[in-house]
Amino acid sequence: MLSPQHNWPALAIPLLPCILAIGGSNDLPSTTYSSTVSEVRISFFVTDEHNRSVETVNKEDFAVVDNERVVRNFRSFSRSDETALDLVAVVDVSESVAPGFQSAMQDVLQLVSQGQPVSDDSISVLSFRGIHPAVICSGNCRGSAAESRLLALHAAGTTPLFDTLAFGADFIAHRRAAGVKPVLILFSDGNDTVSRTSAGDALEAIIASNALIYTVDLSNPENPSDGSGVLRQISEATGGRYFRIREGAANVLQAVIEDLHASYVVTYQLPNHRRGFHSLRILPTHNLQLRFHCRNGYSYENSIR
Amino acid sequence: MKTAFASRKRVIRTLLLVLVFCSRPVSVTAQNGIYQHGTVVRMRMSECILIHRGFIAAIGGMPVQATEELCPEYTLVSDKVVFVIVGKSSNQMVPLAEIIDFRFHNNELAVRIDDARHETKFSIKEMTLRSQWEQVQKHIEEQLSAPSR
Repeated sequence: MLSPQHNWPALAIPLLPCILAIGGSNDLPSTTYSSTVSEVRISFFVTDEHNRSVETVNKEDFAVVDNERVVRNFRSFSRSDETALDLVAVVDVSESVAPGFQSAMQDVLQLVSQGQPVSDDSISVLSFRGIHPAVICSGNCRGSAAESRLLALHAAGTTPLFDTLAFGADFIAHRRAAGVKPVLILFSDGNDTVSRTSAGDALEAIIASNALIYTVDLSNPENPSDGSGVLRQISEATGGRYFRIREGAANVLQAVIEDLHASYVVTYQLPNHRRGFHSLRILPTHNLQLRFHCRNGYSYENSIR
Repeated sequence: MKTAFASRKRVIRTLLLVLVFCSRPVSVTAQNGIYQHGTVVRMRMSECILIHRGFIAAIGGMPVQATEELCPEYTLVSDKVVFVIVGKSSNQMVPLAEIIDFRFHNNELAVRIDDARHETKFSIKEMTLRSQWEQVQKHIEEQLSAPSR
């Protein structure tokens, strides 16, 4: 969320007293350093009433609602410079998804095997059941070994969904690269049964990682459960989208790519310095059919996360 | 006789056409004139309680019926008065343009959606004089910017 030009002072200045303290000199004057990060940066894309990406948007088309305050005065507005994807497929292999498991695995295999525009080293697969998530492959998923590991999976055990999201946030953070948008595609029924991490903590970790989550609902639409709502909330909170398994992996990936290419970045002055979570929404100024997808907030302590 | 009747009919028809043609801009102007202008400065989602319990219930002390649905609530600042208005459903939105047009209609606030001819009606939750509202906002800002102890 920080602009690059604000990154180093925001990190360096709070660390300065520590560096001086390590130096151990007692005759240094007692000085308090503080910094104020005053710019909020939001990445977003727009869809129309038919849920299709909108290519061209102007800064007059929207306003940001930051902690209830309407912001129309932006410091900058431009196309996103994130033009590549780091794609992580996160697959629920717990017992509750057994009825649609084969179909889900076909989709995951299709997603992994699709060539352009996701490069070989930019696609990973995580699975989860029992009490731990597992890394099936990390940046080397198009080989036969990874395919064999995927085909060997079967649905059994409990569902540590939120633990896996927290794990996924950490996994993505270690792969972060400039100009690359991290995207998680979560195949699940949304029914967590065993996580130690709360839903709120898992979402906070994902939002802080700057990743989008596209959820693919594996539950039977004729048997609706709370899990579908959970999946919707997860995708909306990160600025991603929700799909049903019948819509197919190809369509999900197509949407991810279109959204990436139609992404914008807007920056504005922090409206207030209230510490804690700042909720975020982007709403239209004229055309109420437009839907703006962005993460649903950020944490502000003395810096923005 | 027949010719005179036809001629009179034609004159009446022409007069009617002229009347319709001339009155249209007048009605549009009148319609524009009744609108006040304001800016939405705050927006949040709140419980749709106000809508469902109604005015009588609100003053009569009847138990509040909370619903799980959230409705959009807007703070609309006009020249003299600040309104807090609430939508009647979760998807009843106001476009957040710099200036919006609104008018009173049967104890509600009718907001004109952009330049379109249709309006959407919101319940009025609060009305405050702008000078008073600005004083309160200033006080809140001072509280927020004061260093925490």
